Amino acid sequence: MERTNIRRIVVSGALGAVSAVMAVTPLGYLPWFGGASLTIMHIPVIIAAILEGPVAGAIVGLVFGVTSMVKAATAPIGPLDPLFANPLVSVLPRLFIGVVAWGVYRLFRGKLTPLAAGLAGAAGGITNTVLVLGALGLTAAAQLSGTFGVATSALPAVLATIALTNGLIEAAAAAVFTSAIITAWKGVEGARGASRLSDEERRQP
Amino acid sequence: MKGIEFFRNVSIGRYVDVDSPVHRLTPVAKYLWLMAIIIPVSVSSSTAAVLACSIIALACTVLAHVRLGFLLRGFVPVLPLFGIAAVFQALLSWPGDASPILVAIGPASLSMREMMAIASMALRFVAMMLAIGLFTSVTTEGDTARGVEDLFAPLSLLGFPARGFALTIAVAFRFIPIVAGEFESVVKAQAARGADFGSGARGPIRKARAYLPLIVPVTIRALERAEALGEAMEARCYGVGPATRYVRSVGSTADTMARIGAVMFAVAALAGPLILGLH
Amino acid sequence: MSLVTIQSLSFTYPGSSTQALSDINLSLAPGEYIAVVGANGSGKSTLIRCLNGLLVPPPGTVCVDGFDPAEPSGRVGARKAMSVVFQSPSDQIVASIVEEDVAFGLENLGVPYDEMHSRVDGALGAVDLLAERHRSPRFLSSGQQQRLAVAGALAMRPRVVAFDEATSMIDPNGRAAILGLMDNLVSSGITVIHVTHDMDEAARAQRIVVLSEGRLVFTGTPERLFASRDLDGYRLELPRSYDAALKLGLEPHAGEDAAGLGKRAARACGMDVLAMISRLEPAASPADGSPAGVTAFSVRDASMSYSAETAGGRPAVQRASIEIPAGTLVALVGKTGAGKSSLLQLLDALAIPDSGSVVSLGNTTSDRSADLRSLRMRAPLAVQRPESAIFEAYVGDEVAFGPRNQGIRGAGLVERVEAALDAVGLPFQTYRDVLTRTLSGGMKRRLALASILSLDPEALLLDEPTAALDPATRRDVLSLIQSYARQGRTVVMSTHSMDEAALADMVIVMREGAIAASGAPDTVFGDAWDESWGIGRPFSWTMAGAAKDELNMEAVR
Repeated sequence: MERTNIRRIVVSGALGAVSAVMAVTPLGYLPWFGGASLTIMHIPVIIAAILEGPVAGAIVGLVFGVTSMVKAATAPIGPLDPLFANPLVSVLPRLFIGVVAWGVYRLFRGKLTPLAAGLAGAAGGITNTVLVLGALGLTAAAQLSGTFGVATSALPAVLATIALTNGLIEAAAAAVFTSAIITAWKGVEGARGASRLSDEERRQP
Repeated sequence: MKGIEFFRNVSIGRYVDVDSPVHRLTPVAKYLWLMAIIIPVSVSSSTAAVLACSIIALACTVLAHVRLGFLLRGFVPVLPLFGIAAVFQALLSWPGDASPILVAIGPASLSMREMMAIASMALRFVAMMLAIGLFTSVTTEGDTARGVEDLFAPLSLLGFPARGFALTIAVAFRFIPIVAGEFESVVKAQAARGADFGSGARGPIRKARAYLPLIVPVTIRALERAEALGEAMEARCYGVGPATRYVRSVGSTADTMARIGAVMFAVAALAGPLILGLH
Repeated sequence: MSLVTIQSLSFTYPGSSTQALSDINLSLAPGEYIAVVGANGSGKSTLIRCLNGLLVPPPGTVCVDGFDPAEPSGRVGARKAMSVVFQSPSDQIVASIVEEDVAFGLENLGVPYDEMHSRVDGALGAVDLLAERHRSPRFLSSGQQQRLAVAGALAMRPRVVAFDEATSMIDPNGRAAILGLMDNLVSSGITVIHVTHDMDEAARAQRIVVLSEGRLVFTGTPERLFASRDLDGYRLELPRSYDAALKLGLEPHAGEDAAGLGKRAARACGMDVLAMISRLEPAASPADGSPAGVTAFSVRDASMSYSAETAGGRPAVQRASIEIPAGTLVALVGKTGAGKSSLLQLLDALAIPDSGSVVSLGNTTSDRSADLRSLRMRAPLAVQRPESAIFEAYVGDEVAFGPRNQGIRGAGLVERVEAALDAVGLPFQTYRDVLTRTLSGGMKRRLALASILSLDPEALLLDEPTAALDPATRRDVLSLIQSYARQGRTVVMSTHSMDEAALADMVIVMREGAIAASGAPDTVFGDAWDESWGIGRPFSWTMAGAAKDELNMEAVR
């Protein structure tokens, strides 16, 4: 009993630290095309939820959210940072990433672990995108329309576009990373049960 | 050397080690005042409330002997945002805006309400910067974790694991420099094998997979360290019974007054404008 | 009345078919100093964890200070009576302030405030960390961190302290401090269990217990163990001083150090002693196939500092100048913090000098047009503990990562992987499709080295390649390095072991960021030797030095 508690504490703390370091340094950004970047700082939240349950996921989500809020308020660099200094945008949505990821993982746990982990990762990524954008929209409607230069009524359309383009890619990336990390940690055999060297051997010279 | 070693001294906020009335408050008092400022600023639509919070935050900064410029230097890079917002507000107009026009250049016009919206947005951000920045300047890492334990102590009577929660935060603080060092080490190790982390890759799948050599080992190592720490914690009898505290927060009447004051201020800031009908 | 009693202890990990421990019987008295040795997988760490309940032994087999760790109620008592210091110094520290971490165990036990403070003061004093009490552990050296762990253990007022390979991940100075602390603990009546790979350390104990494949195969004094000739069967080796004494024809004393043996040899053998000592070292075999006259690395007046440091601090590398010919095996030595890793990074172009120049394999690294990425693959750097960067699921893919980045595919890629894996002692046919997660620590280190070797580089830069390895793996890695150098490639490796450094063609000594000396081992450890470098000397040099002093004193008398 004590051991489960300790496990939850140390795993949440360690993954919280990973998320915090990713939030505060450029490491949390995956360089993407055209100068844009994807965020991957929510991956540790998803991992914590899969390994130790929804409570751990919520705690790491809290650490992630608070860290991004503190960074936005003390060392802002981007146009959205003033909005992320608001805990309703940076903290509240992140509390739910873990719960959703855990739920999806539980649902698919019977199937292949890599698949379940990937789906949980995607679900967590989508939750992050939807809830954060939703919070941005709701709390900053008046200000946000200034940033994007559109009238307030067009706001939902703008957010939906972002959700679809950025959000889907981030969800796919989250699926890839979550699957890789969970299968590596659990020592699960990959799909083919062997290295990819056999592909190379079969290649035509 | 440029480039790879910027991870070395990563920290969340920066603690300023001086003695001041604000520093001497208990962690709980600091948390209460932090929330008393943040909550109205985030939630309230009243500019008066935001103004009041900003003034309090300003006063606390001065009281804490922390330089204002230190906390607000992050504001300068963000100024363009407000400039852009102002431009767009000028070009568009809000439906049902009946306030007086302040500035008009051809079709672009800034009404009073639009100006107030921009000023309010800027002010909110300033208040957040001051409050959050000040909190990290006056609160050590250890106090941040202990403050959480103290705040939730009443709930622990109902079974909420306040100490466990605080310990998780303490462990996170402890691991942050270690994880940062691990990132640095892995980046170097993979660079030696020619990894470019996706900058040269074409195609989204390949770009994402190029990041695996960084994120997978760091996360796995973090989990391995967590296991090792868990063993050490268990060997040191964590959780066997009610725990005592090595570092005590010394309360005082001034501190209790500060706590009550924070709660009262928060209530006033939230409820006041509604009652008085202010904007 | 024995303090720790183990009777017929057998333990199998859940899900495993082999017994990790088989029928162990052992008794420890208060104030005893025992060493537990054995090859990897012999069950040493399992034994410690069965004693304090981290692993649950069968009921009735273990008794620690009257408590049975198999029962939940007995576990607390066992853990109060026996504290454990673990292998990784930083991964057992919970708090972000030194004195708060010492107090962690006391907080858990509900010790009252005043008593807690006095116990913490006492523990910090006992390990000589009072001056650091308000600092953050991240700024402590690994040796200091391990002392902090000992303080945390001492604060619990244990009757037994177990050190689970606690010296393997710290530098020699730190190690000496921990061994000294163990002596202090024993003289104050606390039982010390020292699990170790290092036979020199084990020889200091009063009693040695040898485990082999889960069985207790020997218990007795160090002298009896070393005299017994069974060491090969247990996959152990003799301590250096014991081995050297035998080779000199003297009666060996367990636990003797190099200086002591040197003096004794001088008194016994007279003037011949120096010649006899030099014959102890294997003759260095000359490198063949090394291209003459080509310089692999040329460092000219290079300085480098990390921009995050304050202006008042000194640069990581100060005005270093060295020429490294192609095909040499170079050992880079110096205290922790002397700048060894920084110099290696300069050679690899992971760091660019702020002033001066570094020319690696013909490329000036500060040149803006230089292709640093391909340079790094021709002279790759293996960081400290390179196995932390393993990310692929399968061994074959991990080793293939490097050559893939070089653009190699198909049969050529597989050949590279095969050659590299065979070279490090992980035969290709067996290991190509093994999950990396299932490898032991020593195998992971070999894998990490293979994934650098598969680049088929011209030069190898290795940062402490043998650190924290068991003796067998260490020997294999060293011979791999030597064979690599003999094929004509340049190898620069940093190390804390002067005996390893003595195997090199060139030794570079660093001190506070500057190069203090460089040259052949004979010169650096002989005439050019300077105490102020803060490093030791290879075993036989220390012996020879003490012997010489003894002869001079004899001559004076």
